[in-house]
Amino acid sequence: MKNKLKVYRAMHDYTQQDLADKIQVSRQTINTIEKGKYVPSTLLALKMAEVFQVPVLDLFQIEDSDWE
Amino acid sequence: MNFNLKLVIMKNYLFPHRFKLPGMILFIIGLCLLLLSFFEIYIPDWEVPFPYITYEALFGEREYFVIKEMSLGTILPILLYIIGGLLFGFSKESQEDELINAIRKNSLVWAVYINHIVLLVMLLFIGGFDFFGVIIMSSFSLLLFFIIRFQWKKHQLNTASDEE
Repeated sequence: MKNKLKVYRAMHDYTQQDLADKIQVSRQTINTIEKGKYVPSTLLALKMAEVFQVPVLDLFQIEDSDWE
Repeated sequence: MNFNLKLVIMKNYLFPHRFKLPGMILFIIGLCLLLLSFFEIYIPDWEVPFPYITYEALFGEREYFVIKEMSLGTILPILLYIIGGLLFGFSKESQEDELINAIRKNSLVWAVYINHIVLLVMLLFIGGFDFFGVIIMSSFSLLLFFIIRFQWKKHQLNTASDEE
């Protein structure tokens, strides 16, 4: 699964800590999600989409390898 | 209020974060005392009367509902180890979130596998009276394996995400 968290963070001028605070998770969690090491729950994805005021699909996209 | 509290406890089965540090201290003291008595370096010989449901002395008859001397030196380290270990391993983190929850669950699965693999190996290669020692050790090692794995994974998470 690809994500554009880093891009949207930069657009809003948020640090990882800023975003983490807004959705009540640790900075490490944001870091691992950005790096693609951890796939967040639907709830967390929706919270992030809400923070950036975009649809979830703008933040996260499924890849072919996710079907294997 | 009470109902809410029950819901929170049932939701994740974790203790509040404030129990973490006391849990760690009790766990370390208990572990040290257990190791000291396991290797027969130091076994405190404090004895206190205690009401037992059943009690069977070596080469003796089984008795029910009796008050007998309990070797606190043997029981106390185990109590400290188990209570401390449970509090330390299963208290919420300062920032409890779904990633930490996932790491905790994975560590628990890993610990169950390792504990039983070790038990299987020992079952095959350690015989006679020594095997009792293995069984006793195995009933305590699950918590230890879990705590080590969980702490290690948290450490890895913190060091891996240092750079932004």
